Amino acid sequence: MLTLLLVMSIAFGNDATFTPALSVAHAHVHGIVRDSADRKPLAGVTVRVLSTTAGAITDAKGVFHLHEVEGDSITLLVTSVGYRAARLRLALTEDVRIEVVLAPMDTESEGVLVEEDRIDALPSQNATVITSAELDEHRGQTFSDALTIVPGVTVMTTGPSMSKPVVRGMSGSRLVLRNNGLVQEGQQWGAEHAPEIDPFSPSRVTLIKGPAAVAYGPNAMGGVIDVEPRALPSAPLIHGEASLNLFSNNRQGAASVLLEAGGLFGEPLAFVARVSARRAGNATTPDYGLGNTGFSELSGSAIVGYGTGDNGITLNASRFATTLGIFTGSHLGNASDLLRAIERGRPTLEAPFTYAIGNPRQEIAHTMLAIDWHVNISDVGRLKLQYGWQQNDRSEFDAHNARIVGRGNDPVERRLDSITRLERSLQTPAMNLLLTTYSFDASLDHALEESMHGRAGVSALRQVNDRSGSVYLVPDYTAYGVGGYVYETMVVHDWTLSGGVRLDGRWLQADVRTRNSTTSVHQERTFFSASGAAGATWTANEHVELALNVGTAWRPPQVNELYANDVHHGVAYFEIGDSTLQPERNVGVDLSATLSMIGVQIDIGVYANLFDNYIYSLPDPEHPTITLRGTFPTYRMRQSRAFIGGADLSATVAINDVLNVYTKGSIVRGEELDRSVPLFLMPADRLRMGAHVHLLDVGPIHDAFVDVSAQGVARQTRFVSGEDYLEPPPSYATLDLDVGGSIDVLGSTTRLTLSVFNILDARYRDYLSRYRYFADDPGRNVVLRWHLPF
Amino acid sequence: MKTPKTEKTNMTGKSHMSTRTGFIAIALTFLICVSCKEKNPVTSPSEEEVITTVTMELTDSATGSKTAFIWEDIDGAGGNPPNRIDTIRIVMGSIYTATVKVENRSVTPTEDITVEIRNLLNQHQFFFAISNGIARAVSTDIDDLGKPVGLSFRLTPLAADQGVFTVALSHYETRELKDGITPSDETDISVTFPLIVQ
Repeated sequence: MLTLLLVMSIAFGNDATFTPALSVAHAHVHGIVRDSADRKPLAGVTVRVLSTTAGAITDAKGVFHLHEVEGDSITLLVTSVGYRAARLRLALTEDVRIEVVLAPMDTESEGVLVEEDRIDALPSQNATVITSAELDEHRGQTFSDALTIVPGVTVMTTGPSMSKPVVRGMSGSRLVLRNNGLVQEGQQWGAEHAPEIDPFSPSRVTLIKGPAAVAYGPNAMGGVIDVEPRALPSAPLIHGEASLNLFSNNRQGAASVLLEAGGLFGEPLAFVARVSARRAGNATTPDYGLGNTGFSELSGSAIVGYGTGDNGITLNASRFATTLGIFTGSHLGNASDLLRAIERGRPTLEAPFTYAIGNPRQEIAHTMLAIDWHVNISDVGRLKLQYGWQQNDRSEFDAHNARIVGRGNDPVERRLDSITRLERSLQTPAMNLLLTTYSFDASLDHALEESMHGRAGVSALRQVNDRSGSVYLVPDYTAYGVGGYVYETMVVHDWTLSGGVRLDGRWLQADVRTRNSTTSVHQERTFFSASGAAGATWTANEHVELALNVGTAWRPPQVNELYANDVHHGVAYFEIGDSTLQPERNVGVDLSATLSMIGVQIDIGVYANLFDNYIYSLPDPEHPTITLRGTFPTYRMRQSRAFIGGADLSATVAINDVLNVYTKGSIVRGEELDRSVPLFLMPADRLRMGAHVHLLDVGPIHDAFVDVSAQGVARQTRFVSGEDYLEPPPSYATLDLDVGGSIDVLGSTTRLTLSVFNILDARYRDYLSRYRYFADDPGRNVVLRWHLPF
Repeated sequence: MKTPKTEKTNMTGKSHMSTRTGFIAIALTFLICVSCKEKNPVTSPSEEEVITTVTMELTDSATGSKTAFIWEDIDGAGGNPPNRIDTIRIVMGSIYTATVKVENRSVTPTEDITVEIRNLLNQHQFFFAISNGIARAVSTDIDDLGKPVGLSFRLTPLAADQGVFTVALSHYETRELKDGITPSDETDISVTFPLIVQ
């Protein structure tokens, strides 16, 4: 079900992509304002044009008119007692008709502006839109941080710089990440492989929970994270934005500049370009610094579009590059070293603050290039074609090259040679992976009759991985994929019914090598399977909406699950893949309920997934790996039937016009059914409670707010004793604060937000933190975010 | 729930792109990308220190007779298990002086890594552990800061019995971290020999 708190759609050119057009000097803006819960028109709502004296009040039918509005673009402030104020920027073209939906007071809708309900999935699917305003308020150090405002989403971290989203207990290759319409083919092999996305770039994120493979392809078993950058401007304008984020904990500075223009050269030509940079030093826990945890990022993107909503083409290019330090305390020789580190409870090395990044480290660059073309064909529908190319270049630099034997006859010569070789060695990656993906997608949106519409599509993919270096966790491979799908939605009275199917084939050809062989073994696997989904949404009355979704998805085993054969230094174990693994499949049932009344909004989601051939790794105590470096536990890939189920909740109650209280929480249960034991690394139960004060205007400050909340995370009590080196960490709580507001300066609106995470500087370790064996999670973090349109 | 719309726009009358233009643009991009590189430029692989063989040479201080005991995993970590683990046999009443030699025998000529350890004495220390208290091993060499190293040690049998002898080499990130007592978290070598005291 789609949680849309405030919807605005522009009647002209409400196409999802863009519609550049020609300028009109004086425009007539009119529209209707409705209640988001019951869609009833709202009378007496104030609509103000900021930075002018123009304004209007809606009539009994909720309609307002603004005559002779001047300028290329305006900002409207829509306010009404008992409702969240809406601030929206409009590009003025010709006469504009808009629909503004105001949400009853609640925290989520803060300044929310959603252009249109356009989820590429069944309407019964549990989906949450994180809007631009919410992203601005919660933008963190990594892309994944902002996602955790959605109940049921947590992160798996490897220090402050690497966090991977976990949706309802599933992560990595069980989720699909789509960036600007293109499924991001990054490297999802390990917990330290985080999504390669600039935290500044998303303008809107749609989070779909539950199997969504029909529209998004295999792997979308646990859900989809659909990231959209800023849409192309539809009006002749030139506009820019600057953002600055500062983080106290690791003395991080991040800046981003966006430039957008529409109607260039009098043509329907538009572009959006962005450049972002980020630099962070060592993070600190309440008691000590974490050595070598700094990182730096540089990314840029450009989108150019030409055409109209009827027929248009966009070209999209982006590059994300980062250098990440790996915490020195996590680099271990063998299992006894890990046990010693656990026993000591804190790192040996007292790390002074520095921005310098040493070994071990990772250097990652992700480059994407996509071209999209859409055309409306009369009596047929809307055809979209997309061709995408992307390349992920990952280098991991080791620190275990301390002594290199020099060559030469003379001892002095040998010594010098060994130093030269050592330096060269530290600059040469221990492992490099170059993953290149070509994809082609075609889809046709069609309306079969008045009340029935849907989409059919095909997609094809070619992927090549080139491995080099001395680490053998992922082999060289070439993979091909093809798929075809169709889904339809039908509206019958209060019911929206939908269903779809998809067929996919994958061919994998890998050349597998290990440390102790010089030749590779050619391996081929073929996978072919179907996905499907069906759902129903029932609008019981103006307050209650229920949605039921049943879906099944599958994923082929990943290359590392099939062919890994090497040591994971950070966690000191040897991982051995199983080349006979079968595809994993789940069947998921999801029931969501939304209850909305004036001042009260409650969303509840309950779900259950049953897995066949769930892939995971288990220790093989009979066969430890004996090496000269000591003994390592051996982990082997296994498959089992499994269950993952749980519930998410979010509720907001408006106490009065300015104050509301809210809570959100999630529980996840995972069980490996063959052995009847809990699944490893399921997020612990968590609950956040908070109060949000929102004031429309405080002197010159608009949209001022104060938000105080506390999050409690329980201890994960469901684990297999003795299977991990360390039992799950104890429960913990953090207290967080956000304060913010906007000021109109020189015709533009500057927004400032100050957030303090973990105000009390509490010591804690999260169960999903990979550094929990050796160190605490980072302590208090004061974040200042500044946003300036120009 | 709103339904996705395929609404007609009526904004401009001009320059509607032709269908052919769209296809051509897609085809052109396709051609550009097909020629992109998908292989890493050939670089020499990272030179990594490989240790295959640990040799302990024991000299009976009374007779002067030397015996070498070898622990070897010639194909490196993983793969086949170690190919040679000698059993160390010593005799009650004798005292042995011993040396440790560390080599990479998987290359020709073999590399003597002991030399590189000797170059960085204050960042290395060997630790010895003998089960059941059947013998004692004590380092007899020190680095320039007076901390033990363990490339040479003295082995004293204490009781006629069987046990195991573990030799571990700790590598320290900085010389300050080496306190002479505490093993580091970066163990470079940890091998276990069966030990028989007769």
